[in-house]
Amino acid sequence: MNEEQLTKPTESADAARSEAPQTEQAAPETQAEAPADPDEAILAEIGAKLGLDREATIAHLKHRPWPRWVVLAAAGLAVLVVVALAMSPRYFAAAAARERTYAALRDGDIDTALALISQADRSVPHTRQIRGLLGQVLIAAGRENEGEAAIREVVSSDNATAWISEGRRLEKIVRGNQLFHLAEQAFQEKRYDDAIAKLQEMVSSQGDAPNLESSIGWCYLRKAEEGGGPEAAAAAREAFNKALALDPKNQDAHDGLAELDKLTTQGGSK
Amino acid sequence: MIPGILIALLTFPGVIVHEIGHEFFCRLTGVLVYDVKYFRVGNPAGYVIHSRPKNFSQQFWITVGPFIVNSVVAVVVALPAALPYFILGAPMSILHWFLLWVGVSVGMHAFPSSGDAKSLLSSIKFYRAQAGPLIVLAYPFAWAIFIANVLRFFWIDFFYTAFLVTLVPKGLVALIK
Repeated sequence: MNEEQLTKPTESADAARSEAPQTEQAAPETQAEAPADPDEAILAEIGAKLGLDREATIAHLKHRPWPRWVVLAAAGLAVLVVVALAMSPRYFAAAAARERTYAALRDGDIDTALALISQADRSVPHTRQIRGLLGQVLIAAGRENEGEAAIREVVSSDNATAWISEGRRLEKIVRGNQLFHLAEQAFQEKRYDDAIAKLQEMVSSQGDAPNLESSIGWCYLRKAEEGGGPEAAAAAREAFNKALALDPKNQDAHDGLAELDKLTTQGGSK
Repeated sequence: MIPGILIALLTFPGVIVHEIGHEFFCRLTGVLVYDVKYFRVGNPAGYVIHSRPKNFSQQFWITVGPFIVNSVVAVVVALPAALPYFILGAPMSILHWFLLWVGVSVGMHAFPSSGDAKSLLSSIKFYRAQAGPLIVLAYPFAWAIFIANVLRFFWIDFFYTAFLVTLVPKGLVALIK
């Protein structure tokens, strides 16, 4: 078929980029002037080539299969996409392991965090987010050199410093979380002096924080209730006031002061 | 400025899928396809010659076809490459790079050409009486195609592709999380 004699109703997008002229199908108003219906002319031309009459030509065009190479290329591409997708679950598993690592770090459980992220690193090696976090957890676990080396493997030297200092910050956070976990345990077991000691250790390493101060206040409050005397009540008030000085909206401290007022008004302890 | 022919050569899978998009919707709507050039070094880089649509919706879907087909294919092909990279910053394998190239190439040719828009506009006039509800979409769509083709100078097709192969996978990751 001679392409030049045919209209080109649709073109590639890129043809437009290079300002290709778009030859529209014969416009309706020009149809009357045309010697014959262009569709019929094309059908006759194709039919003549194939040795088919009009109806057989239409049937041939309607049921013409897709070119073999198009089918093969589409199948090949589909296989590649499936293969690549089949590789994805381990990335999802590693992403889930990363989330569990962060949860373990929040609980101050550095051993579990290290085990989880090491396993993820073995399944998707040399992956920035996993090996980088492994490095940070190693630093948090006190294995500074190993951690730095792991980070430098996957993070550009420009960013490595930030990743390493984040690891060191993580160490403080994990230590804080461990202390808070121990303080909570001591509080539940009514070992208030132990709980206060752990919380004060956190204050000395992390600095003043309203939540830490109100937690100390609650420890003193419970100690006062358990017969700790006016000194414990005064220490509780001091801690709650300190928390409110840092954060006037700290609800925990407001609640503590209210309960402390009730206790001191009643003038006694349990 | 990069010549269109060079872009067509670098992104030839997109030209092929664009023409397949036209042909697919011709077949789907029962319009006879007389001839297809999936790719050639020339202008246009590809075309589909088909019989005159019998109604407006056939013309509409044939025009819109590449936008739908290329967008879907670009996302599906680039997704397996983009997911590990965006979730975890995983290194890209040759397979991932290949899929990303195909995905970007296909996305770059998602917009119908100005010629497609002209076909759509002239068919609005021709089929006005029988156009049906799709005609409401046809004018804004045709003008959106014209504007997109003007904005090609500013690489809008590239930015649209970037949206398809980066933001869509990122959105999916956010949904999964």
